[in-house]
Amino acid sequence: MLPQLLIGGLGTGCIYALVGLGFTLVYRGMAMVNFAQGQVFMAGTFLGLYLARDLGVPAIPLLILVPAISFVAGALLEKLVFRRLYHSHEVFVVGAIGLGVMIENFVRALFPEPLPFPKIFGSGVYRFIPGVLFQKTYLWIVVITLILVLMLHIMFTYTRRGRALRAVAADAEIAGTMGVSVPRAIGLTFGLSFAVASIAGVLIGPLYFVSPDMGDMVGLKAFSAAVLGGINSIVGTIIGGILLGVIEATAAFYISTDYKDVFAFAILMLMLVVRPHGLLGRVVPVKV
Amino acid sequence: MLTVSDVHLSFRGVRALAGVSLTVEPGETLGIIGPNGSGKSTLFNVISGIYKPDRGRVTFLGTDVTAAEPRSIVSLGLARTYQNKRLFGSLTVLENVVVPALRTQAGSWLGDIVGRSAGRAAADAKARDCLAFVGLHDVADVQANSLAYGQQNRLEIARALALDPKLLMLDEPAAGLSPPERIEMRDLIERVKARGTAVALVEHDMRVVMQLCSRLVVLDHGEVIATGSPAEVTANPDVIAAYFGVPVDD
Amino acid sequence: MVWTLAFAVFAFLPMVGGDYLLQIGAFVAIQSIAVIGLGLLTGFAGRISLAQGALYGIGAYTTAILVTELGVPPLAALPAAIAMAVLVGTVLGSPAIRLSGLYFVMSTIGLQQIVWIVLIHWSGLTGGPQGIRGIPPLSVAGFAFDSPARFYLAALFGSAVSFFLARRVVASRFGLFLRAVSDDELSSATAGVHVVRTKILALALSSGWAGAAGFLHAFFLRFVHPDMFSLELSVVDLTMAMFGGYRSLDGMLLSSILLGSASEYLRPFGQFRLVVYGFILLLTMMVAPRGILAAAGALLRRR
Repeated sequence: MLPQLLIGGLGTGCIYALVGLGFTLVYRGMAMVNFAQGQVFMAGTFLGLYLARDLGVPAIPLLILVPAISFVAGALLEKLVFRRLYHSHEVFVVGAIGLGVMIENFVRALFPEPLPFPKIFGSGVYRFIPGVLFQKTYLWIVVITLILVLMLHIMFTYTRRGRALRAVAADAEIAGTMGVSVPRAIGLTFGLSFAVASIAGVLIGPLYFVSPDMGDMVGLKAFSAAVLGGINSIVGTIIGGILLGVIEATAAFYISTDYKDVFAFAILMLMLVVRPHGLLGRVVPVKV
Repeated sequence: MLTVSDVHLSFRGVRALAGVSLTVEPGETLGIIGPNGSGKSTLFNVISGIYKPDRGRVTFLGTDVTAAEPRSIVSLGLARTYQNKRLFGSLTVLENVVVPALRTQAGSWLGDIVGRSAGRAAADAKARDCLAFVGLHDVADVQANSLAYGQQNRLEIARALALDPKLLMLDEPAAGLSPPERIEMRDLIERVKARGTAVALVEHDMRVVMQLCSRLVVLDHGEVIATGSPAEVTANPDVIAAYFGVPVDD
Repeated sequence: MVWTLAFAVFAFLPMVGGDYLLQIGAFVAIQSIAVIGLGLLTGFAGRISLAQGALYGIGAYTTAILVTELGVPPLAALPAAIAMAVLVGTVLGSPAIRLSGLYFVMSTIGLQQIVWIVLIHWSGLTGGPQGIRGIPPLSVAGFAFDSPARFYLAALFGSAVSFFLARRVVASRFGLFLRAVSDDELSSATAGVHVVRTKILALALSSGWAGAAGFLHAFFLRFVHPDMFSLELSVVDLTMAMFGGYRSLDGMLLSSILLGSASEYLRPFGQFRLVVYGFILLLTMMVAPRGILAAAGALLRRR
């Protein structure tokens, strides 16, 4: 049973990791938490649903088109909306919640009923190990997550723009004096955070019926995962996401299905008290 | 009354204090000088309990306060001001001083809810006295944020005085002041001294330091490089080297 | 003074409004208690919480269980509801209250979700997804607040008491310490303020206000269900506290009225009504981050 649980946990964990990355990118750049992240993920699913079901876009182009559109949406929203919320983290939290309420209810007005998502990744099952089922969709989730993480890593390590983003995340003021365009880097950060969350939305679509409130719980779990791994660490968030997925799957089976959702939040509260910077995050010293 | 012995502190490998020792005697005014980044403010933060030193001891009036919380150090009679003006910006000038003045007053907040307690009134009166002492009584009801720079320095001092300190640590009280304001500030510190309060003063303006302090300690790179009377210290070649960056002989 | 008058005017609502309007009025009044409580923490201690709905729920469930299962007289459940909310809020909230504001809000999400999940799944105690039905009407010394008009007046009275009490709290030395701590924790400590104790007390008071709101809520529909106390309620409470105004109890009361009745006057927007609601919030935070009252005040002064 355990291998089967691990596969399920790995699949969900990758989704948490990708949505959680959205939180992490924004947190690193701005020290703000974008609580509309779950709704961005959900909007990605519905964008994918529209493109795949009504326009017949196949899997691979879909996985390029949806994040591309979301990237533009994220960069645009930063310019029009988020930029005006940097007053304080309280204001940002409430403003982002307002945005999330808008997105969720707008989608609900368009799609009031839960809908099946086209099986864009096929519906077959692999049996790499005897007795263990490996759904095709899960394989896609894991492989795409790996590719994305690799791409982000290359971008942040080897490209000029990626290094600029890192510089802004470390210290916007210093980065600005070194000639990095800070507003542009922040727009890029939001674009990226929207893009990764929307890919997660497309990846998870075929597994369930999709509904406008699907982002609420996933958003909060992904957030817990980011805190678990370290909300200012990209690697930490990915590990935190996968860890949380696996913990949930095994705890649901061995401990209690009813209380499966408690684990994520208990971990969240515990981590914040014991180790607020997460498993892999770095400690930010207090300035006096 | 204050003894700092062999205090070391590093931040992420950067040495801020490297074995600092000094004493402040009752009623004296000690000047702590040194170039920028020599560790003066860090030393204040260690003494007032904001930073815990890696090594060394701080005792105040015979009590070891090395690992004590800022609040308990305050209650022993050691108050301070901040160089970067940490006022309660949204409170009025009077309220800024009422907050510390309430420390020694009787009564509780529950009493305040039922009626206006005597302790509250006494704290108000005491705060007004402190404001009058520093010359801010006519702006008592102004919001602290909107004070002029020089007034903020004096409010910092009023807030510290409301704690009835036996030792007052002033972190660059004259920084950023105009020449006439500096003279006023020097006079204010003279009057604090006249109350019998010991003063430890970090200051860049050497004229203020020379006029106020009976003894100086010079810090450089987190170490004490000289101690003595103002005349002795200014004649010390190490001090001249530290300030002007050139070795005098060798 | 203005608000004493306003409460007095609102007391005449039963003379002009029908039952439906009175229900909305009662809802707004109850909500305002939780919002004011949250305001003590958010506006005055600078710590925002997304767990107020859960603590509110604990007050409501404590009341519901005591009066239905144990036959406790309604009014006697009030101290218990407050005490339970204070206990849960303080025990689970205070470890994180020492952390910076953003970390604290993160941990309150955990608290909110855990309470909600426990309410759904601990069927033996809470009735689980069935909720608790058959709560008797609120009654004091034999007088039952069993009609919409009577209950509305009771809720309005509760709201008024909580508002004026909160004003006294803010004016007390504790209120002064709270504002000082929220301005600068470090210099509060060196001015002799017990910073952690002050913040925990703010958390306890804010939880207590939530418990009192929950108490009234149990008698409002005389039915409680876990989904009434989900993250959504916490979000509503937080947005009300922020929308009205930073550090302004008046603003919080005003925004309870404006946002609490929003679902009614936004009715013409049909299925897009919550989109409009979200837009109002977002726009307010963008153009008036200190709340509508502060923005209105600034606008008036400029004239």
